[in-house]
Amino acid sequence: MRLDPQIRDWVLFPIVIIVFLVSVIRHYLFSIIPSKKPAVDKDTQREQQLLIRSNRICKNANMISKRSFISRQPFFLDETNGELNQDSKQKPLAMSMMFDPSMMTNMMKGSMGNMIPQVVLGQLISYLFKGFLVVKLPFFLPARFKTMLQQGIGLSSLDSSFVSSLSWYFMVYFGLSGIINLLFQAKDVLVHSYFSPIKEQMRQIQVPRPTPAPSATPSLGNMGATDKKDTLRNEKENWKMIDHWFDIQNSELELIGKPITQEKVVKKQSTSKTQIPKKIKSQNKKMKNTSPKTRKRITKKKK
Amino acid sequence: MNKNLQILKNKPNNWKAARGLLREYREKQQRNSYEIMKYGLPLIKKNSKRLSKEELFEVMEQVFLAGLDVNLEESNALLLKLQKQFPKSLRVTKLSGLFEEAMGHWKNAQIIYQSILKDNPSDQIAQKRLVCISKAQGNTKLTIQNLNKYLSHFQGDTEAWEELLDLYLSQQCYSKALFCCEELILAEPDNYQHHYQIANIYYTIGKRSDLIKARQYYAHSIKLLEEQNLKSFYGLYLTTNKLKTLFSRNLNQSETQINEQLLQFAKDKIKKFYLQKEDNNTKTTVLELLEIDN
Repeated sequence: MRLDPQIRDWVLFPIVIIVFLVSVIRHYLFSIIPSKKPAVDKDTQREQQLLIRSNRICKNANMISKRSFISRQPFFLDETNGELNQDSKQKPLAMSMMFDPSMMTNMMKGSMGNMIPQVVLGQLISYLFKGFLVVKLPFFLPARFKTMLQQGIGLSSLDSSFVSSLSWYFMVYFGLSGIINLLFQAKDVLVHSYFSPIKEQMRQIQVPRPTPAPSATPSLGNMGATDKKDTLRNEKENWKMIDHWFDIQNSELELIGKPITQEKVVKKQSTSKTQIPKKIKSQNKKMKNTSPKTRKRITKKKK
Repeated sequence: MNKNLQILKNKPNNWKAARGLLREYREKQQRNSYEIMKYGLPLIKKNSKRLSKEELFEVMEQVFLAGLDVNLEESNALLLKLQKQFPKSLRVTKLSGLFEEAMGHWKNAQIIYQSILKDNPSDQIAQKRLVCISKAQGNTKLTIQNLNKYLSHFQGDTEAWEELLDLYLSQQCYSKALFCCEELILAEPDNYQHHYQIANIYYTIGKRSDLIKARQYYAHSIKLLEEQNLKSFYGLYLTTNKLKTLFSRNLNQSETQINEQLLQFAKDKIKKFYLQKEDNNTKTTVLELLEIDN
């Protein structure tokens, strides 16, 4: 079965050309209309950086001595003043989007600018090229897709891989978006300056993905106000999972070829938050890493 | 050497090579001011039509920044052009602030940055430059204060932690310098330089437990990079030697054994390195000194 050359000339290629031209026009229109970047709130910025640092510490905690690690804990985890126990001061996105005018224009541009031409064009094409088949898809589709892909054709027995012009339009649309990105990216490559707005955005958007809290409320992109409040508290999960072992100790043993031992301290009850009473602390200090002579001296003193 | 640089040394008028070179420097954010000025300025003055408009202004900014190091007059001219083209631009205001700093007009620069911060309170670059101004004026105490304030807000800024480390070391506050160095290690755990630096600090503090930590960090630095890391081997040699001579009675048997082995390891590596080199004064001196401790 072969495709009528007239369909090929007057349907397939024109749809490709139409989609391409519309995307190009849209790109230039967007670059003409000035869009104000949403100004990053100072508090949000601080919290983003806080999360970055907290993440770093949890990730590489084994590279610093135990003392240093413990000294950083109160800053984050202290009951009253610790950073991760504060309410997040980030404004919930939904609210700020409604009322901030500059954000409105951005949103409009973003979603509407993409959706409206797509819908309008789709309707136009299905109206213009109505009632005939255009493409045979090379893969097999179940019969359910017939209503979607064979609009305007009433043959229920026809193979589902024969599709109408509307589905060809969708395929072209999604396919060309990649090529168009490549074409318009050539100019973005030139922008590497330290002061360029793209680089500034890159510096801001280094926030690590938030760890999933165990009480997983299905988050619809963090629209709820309560979610935002707890962004900092959710970070505490990372800290609880750390079992600190000073990894650097192994490096010197590796160099001289000794077997590496990693003591895994069996934690019976809780995390490293347990307060060791002061007396025992000082005793441990004295007894650690001492030669047998000094140990005898210390125990003698106690007697 | 750089391919474009080679072409330019033979044919200094080749605008394509100049453009390619400047693009590379922009991508890698390298600060080769002399070269950028030498090849970028003719590109702007003679061949400006060969560059697209966007690239022309990017190159102008790049040459401007290079001129702050090398040739302030040209920078001034470029700044005026940029201000004419982009009259109310935030980016150009920042560049004018940089120019005032380069001229040494600290108050003017401060006024500019503070006006930027009034309109854009979350602007990172302006806040950073304010700290840089106090450093350029030589006021170390004030710089440390300002930098701490900056860091309490921007806790993830590795550059700033490095700067604070240098400042504390210059003031010999070793415990605080340790904290900063640890932040650097946490940020970039694979960077052998940070481990080397923290080992240096531990060695300088010099108590027994610190020397052991220094030894461990030197060993880790060696583990990360062996080839061009002779300084870590020296560090390892010095710490193990110091532990052996000063703290021998505080180490138990297994520890003295580890120490001895590490000392021998470091010595062998240093010897091996110098034996590869040609004969010169340094070589003979080092080999003699290594023999003395035997």
